[in-house]
Amino acid sequence: MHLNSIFNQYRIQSLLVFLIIVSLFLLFVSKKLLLDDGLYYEAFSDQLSISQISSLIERQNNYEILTYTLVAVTILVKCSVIALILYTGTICMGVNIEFNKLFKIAIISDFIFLIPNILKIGWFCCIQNNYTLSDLQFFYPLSALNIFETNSISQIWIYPLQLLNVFEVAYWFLLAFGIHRLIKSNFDKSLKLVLSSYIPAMLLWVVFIMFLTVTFNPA
Amino acid sequence: MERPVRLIIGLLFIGALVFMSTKVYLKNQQNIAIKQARQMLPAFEFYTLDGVAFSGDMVEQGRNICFVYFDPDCVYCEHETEEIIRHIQQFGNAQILMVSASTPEKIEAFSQEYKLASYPAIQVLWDRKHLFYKWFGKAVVPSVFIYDSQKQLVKAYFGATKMEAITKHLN
Repeated sequence: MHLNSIFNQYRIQSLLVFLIIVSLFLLFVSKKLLLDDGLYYEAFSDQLSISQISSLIERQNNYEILTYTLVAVTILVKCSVIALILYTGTICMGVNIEFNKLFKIAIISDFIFLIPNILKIGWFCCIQNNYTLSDLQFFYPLSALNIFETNSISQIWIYPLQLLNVFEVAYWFLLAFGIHRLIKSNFDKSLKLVLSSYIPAMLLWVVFIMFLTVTFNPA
Repeated sequence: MERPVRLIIGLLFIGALVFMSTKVYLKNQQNIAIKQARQMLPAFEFYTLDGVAFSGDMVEQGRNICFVYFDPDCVYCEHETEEIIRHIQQFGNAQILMVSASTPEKIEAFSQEYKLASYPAIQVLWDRKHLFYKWFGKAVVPSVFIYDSQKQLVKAYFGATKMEAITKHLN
């Protein structure tokens, strides 16, 4: 289906609910297919006793609803914040677009991030059947992290390298395309708007995450 | 939007980015330095519950040293302490230094609850100036740092740890 028709045909609420439902479904599928108790026992048996690992798993199962709720809230907050950043960009560039329309663009563009989740499930189900908990944790398809051995790089670089991926770049172009469609000017101007608003905000976010990593999880 | 306003937004962004990047860099350098320094027993100074300073020089020579960083209010620390007491024989001649940054009253109550004073191998210490992080880096509760008789770090565990994992590093 063409992006234009998606944009015109569906309401913001419907798109948001659909995005959240699909994201939660993929999370559910990946938990059921990829995560089994054996992975936890293997990962923690050096440090924890069997009963400690069992209670860890039990606690995690008890908080499952909270995990799903957090994912849903995160999607909502992320799309809102990105719409706000783009809105600031439009003001700076003297372009007039309503916040709601930018919010819709952010939601539609966010669908691109479902692809790496699907690829992850496919990869560990069909290609790499023998994996550990840290393999699951650090895997991000088509990202810069794949170039490095995760054991050989400092922890603070894990997130930035994961974030530097093909889908992230595609996301920038989707955002730009959405804006281009709205303001009906050339694509370069829309891309410039995205690059001058979203990218700086993303850089700040990455540095903030790196700061949290070095502060709360030092080696 | 007016050009000066855009300029201010741009400068604010660059300022925030430079400030945070510098913080990340300095903090990371500090973490690396601590991690390297703790490979040998750091020149720490904690206090006994009587208020007497207890430094690295006062550690008995030729013994393994097992630091247990704990908090009297942490349930995992309570469990860890119970386990240490239950397996005290397996610690051999190791000196167990249980360090907490909590209040001396709480540490004292904790010590009394588990009768820690009755175990000659265990010394309860107070991190009065909250400097454990400066010497040992990551300071979650409970954490365990095991040094051999040559005062070299053998193993560090963060979070609850089974006794078998600790005692296998004590010769």
